[in-house]
Amino acid sequence: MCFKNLPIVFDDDGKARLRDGMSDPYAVAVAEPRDFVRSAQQRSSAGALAAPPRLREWSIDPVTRVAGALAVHTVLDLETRKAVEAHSQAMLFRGYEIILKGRDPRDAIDISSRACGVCGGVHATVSSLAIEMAFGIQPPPLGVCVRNLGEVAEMFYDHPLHLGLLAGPDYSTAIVSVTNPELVDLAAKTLAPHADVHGYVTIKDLMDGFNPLEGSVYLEALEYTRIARKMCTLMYGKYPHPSTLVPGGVSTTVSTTTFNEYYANLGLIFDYAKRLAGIWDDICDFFLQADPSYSEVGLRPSNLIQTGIWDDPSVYDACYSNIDAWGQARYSAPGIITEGELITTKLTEINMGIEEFVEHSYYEDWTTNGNGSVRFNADELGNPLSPYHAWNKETIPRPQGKNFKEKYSWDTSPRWDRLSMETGVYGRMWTTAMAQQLPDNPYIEATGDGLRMLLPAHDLPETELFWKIPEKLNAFERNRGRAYGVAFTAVIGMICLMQAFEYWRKGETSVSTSFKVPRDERVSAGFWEAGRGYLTHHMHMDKGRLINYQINTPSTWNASPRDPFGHPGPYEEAIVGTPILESVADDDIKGIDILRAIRSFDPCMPCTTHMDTGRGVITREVNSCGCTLE
Amino acid sequence: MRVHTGVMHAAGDGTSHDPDSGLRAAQTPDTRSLPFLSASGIEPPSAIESPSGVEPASMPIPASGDVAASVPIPASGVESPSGVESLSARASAAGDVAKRWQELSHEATALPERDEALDTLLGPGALVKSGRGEAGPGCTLVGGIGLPWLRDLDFGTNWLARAATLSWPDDVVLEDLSYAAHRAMHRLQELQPARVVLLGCMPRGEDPAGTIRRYALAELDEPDPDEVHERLGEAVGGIVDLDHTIAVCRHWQALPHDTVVIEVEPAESEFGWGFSQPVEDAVSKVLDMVRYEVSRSEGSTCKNPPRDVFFDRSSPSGGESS
Repeated sequence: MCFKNLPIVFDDDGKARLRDGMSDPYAVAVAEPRDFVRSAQQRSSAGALAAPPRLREWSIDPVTRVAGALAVHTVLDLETRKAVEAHSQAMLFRGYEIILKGRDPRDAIDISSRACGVCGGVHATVSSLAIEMAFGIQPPPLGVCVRNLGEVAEMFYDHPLHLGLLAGPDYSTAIVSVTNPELVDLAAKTLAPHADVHGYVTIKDLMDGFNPLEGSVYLEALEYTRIARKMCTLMYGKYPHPSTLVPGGVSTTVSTTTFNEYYANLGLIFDYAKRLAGIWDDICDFFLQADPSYSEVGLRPSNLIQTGIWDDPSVYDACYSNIDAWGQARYSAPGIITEGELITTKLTEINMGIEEFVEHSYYEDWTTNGNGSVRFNADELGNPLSPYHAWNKETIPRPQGKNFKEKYSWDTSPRWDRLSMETGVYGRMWTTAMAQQLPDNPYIEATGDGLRMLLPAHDLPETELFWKIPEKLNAFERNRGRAYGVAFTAVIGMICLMQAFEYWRKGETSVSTSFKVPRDERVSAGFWEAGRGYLTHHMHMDKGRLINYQINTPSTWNASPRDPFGHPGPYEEAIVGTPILESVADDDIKGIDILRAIRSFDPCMPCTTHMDTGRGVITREVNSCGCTLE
Repeated sequence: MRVHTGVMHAAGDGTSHDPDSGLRAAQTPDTRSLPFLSASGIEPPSAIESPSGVEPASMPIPASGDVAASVPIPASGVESPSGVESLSARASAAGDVAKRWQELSHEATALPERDEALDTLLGPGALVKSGRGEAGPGCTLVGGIGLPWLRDLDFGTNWLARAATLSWPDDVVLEDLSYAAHRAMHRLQELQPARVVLLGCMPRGEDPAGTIRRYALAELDEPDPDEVHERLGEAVGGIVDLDHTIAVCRHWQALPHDTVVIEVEPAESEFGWGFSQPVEDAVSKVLDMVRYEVSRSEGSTCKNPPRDVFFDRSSPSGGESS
């Protein structure tokens, strides 16, 4: 059964419909937000509240000048040394949906591109997909290849940046020597198992490499962002925020040299991917072996949502009626995983299960704001849609004071089948591995329990990597997955490049198709992925203008606040229960394990945070951009 | 069991296909030795098909950052018949603005032709006057930093767009540097300019709107490594910020000693087009200042600009410097 919580059932032919006999099938019974601290106290008592545990409020608040921001408010139980409460707070209103209202749909490509400063092409791409679906046009095969290759390169920008510059320093000698000096001593005596690949003899050498500004892992990551951008520019002409992504393909002028130069740089990435996998295997395994409690850092249920990325040019036709076929043909599979089980890889089922709630967000509930009518009860195939679905959503901002019992975030609460879902690069590897729908190719095999990848030789020899689906989804496995994600992306890049060569060789060199802006009413959606995972743009247009345009990003899911049913969002879930493993006195706790939990998601909201320890303020940096925000 | 695709065989890489040997036996190509397409003995099509038949988008100019970078931007809005603020309508007014700009500039000349190929090669938002193919080590780089569609905060980009319509000495490169600090750093490392003039609007909140501040890199304290790390952390998250660019580029010695920053105090930072009046009034003054900076002789100190031209940031009230 696909849906357990939504009132959707399937007939014998697999056609979805609403369950019979329900007068208000999508009714929401608002529940009291789950309060972890209070229930912990209540549980420990026999009729009366126990003595309060040694709780300490711990706020990670932003100071930001230009773009979005994330704040996380936690409560630490110093008795059990665990985080017992968490609220994730997006601090800034984005408003792209409002800006886009009434505009020419083609403007959405350029304007929505600015939703994210890290993923400088994904929004433009997904916007192009949504528009070409609405316009009823299909890009030529090489246009799809170029788009795929650009997106491959974009991942090479995102993943190293996070691993080297954002998450990496959390595992550096500079940090660990303050929070867990005994681990540094141990690291100095521990040989790195993959030293022959990455060149770092001991784990301490590796941790030195993660030191900010001067560590070689850090600096190499910075350099690889340059290489990735070169590759992006070859396909997009410009990066970030390419001007060449258009409905029906790309307007890039490509040549033999374009693909050859891309290929030369891809070789560098192959070697980097081999090293990165070894580096993160060694770091993760060292921490997990040194103290198995690290597996509880950032732990949450394996509930994942992915929209898929990298189209097969021979299958993709931009038609909603064929969306399941071309979605399942993607090299990275769309999919839903709940409690570690693959539920579906059909984009129609993913789409019909999506709802977005604003119970704890600074917005007005559009279902109660208007005349009560729902814009779309079903998609064009007859699949039922919730009033809370993106095609029905309206963005109605209502700024107000923060109240954790009521409203506390500019992020909304997207849910699938009313479940809190996470998304990320590891998620797309997970769905791809379990779906086992990859076309035959020499570079990657989905085994059901993981991905077997063969990275061609460059300076380093041909190398086979196997990413195994982790038993637990925690901070370390997120980062390890992201490191293997570079290899995953690289081999898909190789497949796409070979395809591009083939089309070029056959003389199929067109990369775009002509179109006219329709004047009648159209509804469409773009499904794609950012470096951090899930990405959709839902669009409704009429008379050549946008009526509604809704953007939903990875961090909208990951950073979401509690939903109307009282369930926390993924960051919040991951923080609650995270142990404080620092080997320092309570008053000297830096909160590094909480930060590792948050950063492992690769949050996409820029903020400088102030960690209030109760004994003063420590200024720390948390990464990102504004794409979580509405 | 995996098999080779036809694509792989067609690539002429000599791979063998053993359907029973799994991935390891696939013998993927060595990327150092695999012949590139042109060397494979199969000629590519002689004519490269460029995108055709694509109906121009509502903007007759490429997009987002490039919109600002490629045409002068009108200072006031133009409404479309539907009442929706149209980007294309704004762009159509560009000609008038260019004309006005030429009238007020000292050395107005015909618009140089843009070199689209070099636009591509030079990276994000690249915008350089004709002859920039000569750009390279030893040039003078005038780099604008702006935040698209945020009125005065987009000063650097839009100022450059106007300045690109004027003539400049051969060794001067005008370029939009409106990207994150590390990206700007990589560009500077490639270009290796001998002199850099950075432009932007910065809301310091200490001076009246429209105040122009000018300072030399040599006058600033070296950034603390922790500060650089913090700023880089924000930059890689997508934040475009003049101070981030200065701190990060300086840390890795990507800026030459002869670097000057000219910044304007903004008045408006809401979403939209065009400068506020105080900032619009500063445009031509900044042009004078940049003309001075790019023309002063090699080796002359960048600390002594002519008086009555601009203000000095080091002065608390933004007063004239001597």
